[in-house]
Amino acid sequence: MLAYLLGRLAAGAVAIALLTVVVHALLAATAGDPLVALLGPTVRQLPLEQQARLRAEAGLDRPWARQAADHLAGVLRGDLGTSRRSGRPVTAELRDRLPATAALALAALPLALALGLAVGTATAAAARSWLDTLLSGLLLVGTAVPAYWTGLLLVLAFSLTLGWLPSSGGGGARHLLLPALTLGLAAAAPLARITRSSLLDALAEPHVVAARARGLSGAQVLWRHGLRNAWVPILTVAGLDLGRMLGGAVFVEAVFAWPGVGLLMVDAIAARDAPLVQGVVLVGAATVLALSLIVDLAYLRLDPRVRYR
Amino acid sequence: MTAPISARRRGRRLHPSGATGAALLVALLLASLLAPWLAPRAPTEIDLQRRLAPPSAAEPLGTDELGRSTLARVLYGGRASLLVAVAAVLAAALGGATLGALAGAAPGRLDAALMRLVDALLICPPLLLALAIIGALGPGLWHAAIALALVELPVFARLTRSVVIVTRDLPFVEAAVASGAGRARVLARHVLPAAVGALTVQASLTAGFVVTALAGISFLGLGVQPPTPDWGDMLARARTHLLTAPWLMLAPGAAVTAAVLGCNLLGDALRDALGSPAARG
Repeated sequence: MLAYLLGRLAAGAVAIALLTVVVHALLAATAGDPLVALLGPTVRQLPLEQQARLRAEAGLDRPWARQAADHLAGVLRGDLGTSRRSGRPVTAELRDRLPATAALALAALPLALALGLAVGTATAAAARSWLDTLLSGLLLVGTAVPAYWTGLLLVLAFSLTLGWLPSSGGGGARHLLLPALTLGLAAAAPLARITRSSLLDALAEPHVVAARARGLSGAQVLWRHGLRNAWVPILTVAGLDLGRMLGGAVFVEAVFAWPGVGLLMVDAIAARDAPLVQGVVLVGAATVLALSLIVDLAYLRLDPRVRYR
Repeated sequence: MTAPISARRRGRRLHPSGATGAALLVALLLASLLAPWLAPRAPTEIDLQRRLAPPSAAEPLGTDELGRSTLARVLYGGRASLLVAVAAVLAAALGGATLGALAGAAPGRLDAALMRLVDALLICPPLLLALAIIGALGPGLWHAAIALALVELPVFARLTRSVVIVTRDLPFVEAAVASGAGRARVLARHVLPAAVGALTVQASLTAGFVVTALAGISFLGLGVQPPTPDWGDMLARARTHLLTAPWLMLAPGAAVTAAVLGCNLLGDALRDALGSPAARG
């Protein structure tokens, strides 16, 4: 068990290190002259010797592999470099923005789980009825609606027409409600679909049919035999979903000007701030890795058949 | 893991919802290709006399802040939003299949190295990685398409590799090798065809994400550059006129939704008919 966990962590660390080097190489190879990015286009007017000296001072004259290795070593020490846009450490920029994104995700997740599980269970319990057909159709469309459009529709309805909630900006719970609803709705649709299909699979098992024959009520069967056996696939999708949600958060933050990491990423790209871009990618990958570990550990509790060696 | 598609499963009929999805996609593609005949006027034609005009007989979807026809821009927008997305998916599928076939057929060490790379790329949320690549290439519609193709490529590589590994030890492949066919020929003629079904399913499921992401990247202002019409860019512009001209955001949003719905319906039906490809990751 412990060996399995350590193995997973080691593999994850290797993957993240490799990702760091690949993204670094990509940005270094294509993002234009890093000295210009660092000091502005006027640097080109300086004498060549002075340009070379500045280049050496910034460590830009090192061979490419050396720069990538130094960057990786910095990451291991917790030093993600300096943002070119603000001149502040990337870690400080991330620390400023992470709480907003975390609040958004933590508010959206229970919403997605509650809605996804409720609608999924309802459609499975009423399988092949008109309610199932109606809700399943809605879910299909719901999975297809892009989060940025949902966001605009919600703003139009709740901010501009009804005037109940602010349409953009960071702040307290009132500002968080619409972005969290947008993100939660986007994550709920796939969750509901997997809940429906894994519940239907679980309810078709012979022991469930036997339980029904013994006279258990529909609700008892659903709870004791259905959901309990459907948790594993649901959890897998929830874990994957959260990873995708991190991507979707970029759109939601952009619609609502919610000052999180996603908006930071968009600004960093517009400003060609390579160190900041790398920092956000690292945070994203580390979060996905952590989530998949948590999901693996949760399997142990939910399904006694699962063993890790 | 993906089992090769057996002849029995291949014969299974497509679910009607798949036909609906295909019809939806064909209709959207045709509308964007026939835009010159369907649109009331050119999508870039500015008419300051008719700024933010509500829907009317002449302009069924109203006009934007520069008096441009929304209908024309939605129709032409399909070219950027849909055709470029299709190109990105094709590039990802072909590149991924090539890489996956190499990995599956190559000796252990190259295979392991390629798969570590694939794992590393798959660990990052796809949209975030795509944005990072755009950060490297700079904003632009084709840069966004390249970024999305690169991000989805590992999924296809992994899928192809798993099919190749299962198929390469099957008797008919051994027979081909024994009868003297070269490695490349065996791979191309006997092994890779087994992956086509799974690749097709994955491609149609990936297309939904790529369409959303491509329009989304333009929505963020990192994709298409003005004045080229694009659904995501139209939504970004509509955002500033939500209250005064709410019709501006309806058509482009509905167009993205319809396109993604078409991809998902087709993908789900193909998966049921052809067998399921390996899950992502």
